[in-house]
Amino acid sequence: MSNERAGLRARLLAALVDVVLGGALALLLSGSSGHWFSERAVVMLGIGSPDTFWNGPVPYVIGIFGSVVYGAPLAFALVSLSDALFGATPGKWLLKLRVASADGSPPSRTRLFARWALKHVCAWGLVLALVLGESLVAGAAIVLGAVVLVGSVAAGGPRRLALHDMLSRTAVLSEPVARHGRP
Amino acid sequence: MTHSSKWPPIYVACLIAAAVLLGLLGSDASVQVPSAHAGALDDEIPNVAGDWAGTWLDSIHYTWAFGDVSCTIVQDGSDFTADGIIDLSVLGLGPMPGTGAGTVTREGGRATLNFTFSAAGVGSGVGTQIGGSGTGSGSVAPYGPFTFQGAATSTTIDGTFDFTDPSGGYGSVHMTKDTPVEPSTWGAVKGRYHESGD
Repeated sequence: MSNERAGLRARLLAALVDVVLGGALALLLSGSSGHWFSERAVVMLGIGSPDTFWNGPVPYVIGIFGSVVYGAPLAFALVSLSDALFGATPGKWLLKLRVASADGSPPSRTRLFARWALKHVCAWGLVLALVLGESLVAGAAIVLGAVVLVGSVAAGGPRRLALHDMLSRTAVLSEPVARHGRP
Repeated sequence: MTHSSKWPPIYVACLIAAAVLLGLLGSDASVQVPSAHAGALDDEIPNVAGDWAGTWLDSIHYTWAFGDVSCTIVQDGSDFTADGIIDLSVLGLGPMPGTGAGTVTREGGRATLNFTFSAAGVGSGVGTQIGGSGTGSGSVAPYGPFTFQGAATSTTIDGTFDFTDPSGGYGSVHMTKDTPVEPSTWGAVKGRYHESGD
């Protein structure tokens, strides 16, 4: 099994696949959990009082697709959870990538979950914020998510490690061998 | 754990299947609208004639929208007419004029007010008020049908409404009657005159 670290392009493509799957799941869940999270958004954003900050055209347009938008964090968190459970998301699986420890050895479950928690802090943080109805938690999740996003650019560097890779002491490896491994 | 594991796609397939199943089973997405305070079912229609002003509030698109609403209700015997304005500026429509009309009849020994209302370019509806409580339904473009219920006294009108389409939201209307200026009487004028000591 190769220990070659995956480049930024392959990782971006894998992320794109996961985003598409997460979006599809958010659409499918819009009538159930999406609606519930939309109602929680009303609580979280303090909507209902005339002095709420969540007014104007942007919240209004977001609200039109509220059951998808406010339900999306859970959908993305669920899809990405595959990374913690199996060491690969569907996108990584398609592109023959996998998560490993920084030294290339198989990662422990704890390390995988730590990596997932770091990388997807925005998704699960927003889910938590909606459940709790706390806009401050949402703000923190978005800020930390932005840091992770910017830190992901580092995967294009010579070490091919994103910020969340470094913090969780993991790496994403590419596996050039055939998926079914037939000789 | 190897890369050849097919668990990631199987996992997501299960997620999607569960989501489809949830969608098929449907969810009870109906929102429990806070009920308007239910007053005793009076046998008489409250004196609603007068000038009313208040606000409306709607959880439309999961963003609370609100605005002013006002109307003047005139009673002529058993007939009521109303002219009003609802401010829909927050929805990009501006203040929209509307009208209403109703007639009180005796049904089963109870005074019943059947009324209609409409606002050009906004929507229309019908309702029935028995005593101080009313219910009805209507439709607003583009959000579709809604139902409403409410209670009226001679000084307040409180109502809640709920759109069938969740994107239309649910909300409430609250209006109070403008207190009419008490007409001065010669007795009152004289009383104040004497109080001043002059």
